[in-house]
Amino acid sequence: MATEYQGLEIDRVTGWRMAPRYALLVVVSVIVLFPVYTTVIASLKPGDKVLDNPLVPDSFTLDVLRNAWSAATSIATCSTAQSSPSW
Amino acid sequence: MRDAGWQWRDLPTGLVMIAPSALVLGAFLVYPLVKTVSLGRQRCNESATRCVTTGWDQYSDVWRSEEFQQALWVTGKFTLLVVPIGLALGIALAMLADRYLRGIGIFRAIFSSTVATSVAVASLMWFFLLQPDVGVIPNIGWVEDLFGVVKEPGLLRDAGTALTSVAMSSVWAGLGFTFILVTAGLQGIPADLHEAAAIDGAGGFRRFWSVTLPMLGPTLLFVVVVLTSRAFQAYGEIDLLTDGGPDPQQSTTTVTYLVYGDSSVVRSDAGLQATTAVWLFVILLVLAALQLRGFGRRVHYGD
Repeated sequence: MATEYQGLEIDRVTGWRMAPRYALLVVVSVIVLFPVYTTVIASLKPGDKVLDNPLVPDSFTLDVLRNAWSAATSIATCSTAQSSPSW
Repeated sequence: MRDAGWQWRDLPTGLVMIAPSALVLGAFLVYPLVKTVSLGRQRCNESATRCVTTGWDQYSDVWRSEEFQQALWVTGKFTLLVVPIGLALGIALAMLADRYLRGIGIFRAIFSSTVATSVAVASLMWFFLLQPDVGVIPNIGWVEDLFGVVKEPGLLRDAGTALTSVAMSSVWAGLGFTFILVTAGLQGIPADLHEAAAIDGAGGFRRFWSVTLPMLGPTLLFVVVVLTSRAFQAYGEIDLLTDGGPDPQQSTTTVTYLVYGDSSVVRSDAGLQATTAVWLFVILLVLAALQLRGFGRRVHYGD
């Protein structure tokens, strides 16, 4: 059975010495995921509330996603029904 | 040694066997290239249905034109922003995640996640972040107070910051690709090299500089060539974020955008578009050859 890569023995740290490394990993992950986070949060808010506290997921709704899904479905239906896209 | 007669007898079979590849290459690579080079000698309408041959001088005319030189300069700046920053961040993330820690797989998945994001989606996300009217960052109070440019005129509308902003989105979108390749390269380095260096008293930085970087040479060479090529061909993010502007400086009109962009000055002439495209091809070819020859000599392949 293949074993997972475990890095170098000489680099292995244990206990509290791991904390700064985890902190750095979390900070970098937040930076990498920030654009995705803001887009997801905006998609879960009503259109007129997107700019109110843009980083906080208040006034939660799935309507925007639902509307986008139905709009995409109707566009797809139109484009298969006609020879050319309707938009 | 084989005699010549035997080889000649094999010729028809050989030709039949390479015919499928030759046909595909001819139809999809050689013919379009020859056609584009030929079209580059002509002035045409947008759909290339009416053309007038102007000759090979059109290539030197386009090269010397102010628009092409400006686009080439912008492309160079864009590449110099995207390639070193993208490479440095990719290496840094890969080094950070190349450790034995509980849950490191989750962080590796996060760092490589941008590879699954298309250029269109990544650009839309960054548009949503940076656009002054609907963007998230310009509408955060303290950011607006601290950096006025994010709101008025906006990072994507200011000639001084537009290219950097587009480059930032491009670096983000390409981060996963660099991270995955460098991680694979790191895991291919034999552990005993690091251990031998550590026994000799080399610290973390010394081991990185004298063991990790040289052993990553082939990977880094490949990444640099691909990132440079991608930066020269960047189109989607520019079209979606700035549309080649802001006007009138055209500070984000790269050579690729000049070939096909909506607001490009050669948009209505398929001949000039072809000339510009051929120059882009030649520049990329020369750059790739220079990189492979220049860096290739310094790369250690471990044999």
